[in-house]
Amino acid sequence: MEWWVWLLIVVLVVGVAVAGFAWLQAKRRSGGVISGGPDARGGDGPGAA
Amino acid sequence: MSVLMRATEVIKRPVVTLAGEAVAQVKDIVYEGDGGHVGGFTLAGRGLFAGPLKVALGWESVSALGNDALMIRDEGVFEAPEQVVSRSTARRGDVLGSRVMTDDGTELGTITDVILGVTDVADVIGYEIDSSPALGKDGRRVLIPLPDTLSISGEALMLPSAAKEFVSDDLAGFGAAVQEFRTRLAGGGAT
Repeated sequence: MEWWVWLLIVVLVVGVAVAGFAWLQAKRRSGGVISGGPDARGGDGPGAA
Repeated sequence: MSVLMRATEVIKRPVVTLAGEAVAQVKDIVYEGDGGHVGGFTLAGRGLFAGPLKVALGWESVSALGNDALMIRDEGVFEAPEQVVSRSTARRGDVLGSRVMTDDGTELGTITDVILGVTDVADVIGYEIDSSPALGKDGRRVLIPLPDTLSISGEALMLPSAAKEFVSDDLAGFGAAVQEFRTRLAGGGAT
């Protein structure tokens, strides 16, 4: 095969791998609302002196 | 007076130090399963290739919860995740998508969002749900108040049946509905 075909294949493979990794990380970054936490958690938050 | 906000508006909000540096973003909101108090947040990194961080943020370390960011003093306030999320909690997972049932066995719908009441503390005060036919709301998305004490049974979140009478269509007036609902429960001696 021509050299540029190999180059195209490499670029495509690398591109798909990078996009897939970015998608996976974005999915891992997405969160939710978890019910329950350690016992006896307390304290003041925003506005506390 | 508390400010009402949807939990999904807080998720992905950047965590910014008082020096102005965005050091993380909110991944999960963690609240106490029985009392509804928000205990803290798990965090994720910022940027295209960043994943979840191995640190968490306790509620008492939040300087301010603003419309655009969570403010903290500096990165020194981060703590180990197990200080915020218990291992059993991590296994149980997200309440979004869970079913809501009343203590008389009526399924009210599926949770699409959680409503927070924020003052010096943050409390979970209600759920936004895709309503079931039992509510008679044509499947619309509605807000339903929570009692002071919550209970979770298996996959379903349980509510007193009186909650059906205090359903709201939007956040305006929902705070009053929560107060009336809790007053009713206190007066009736039920939980």
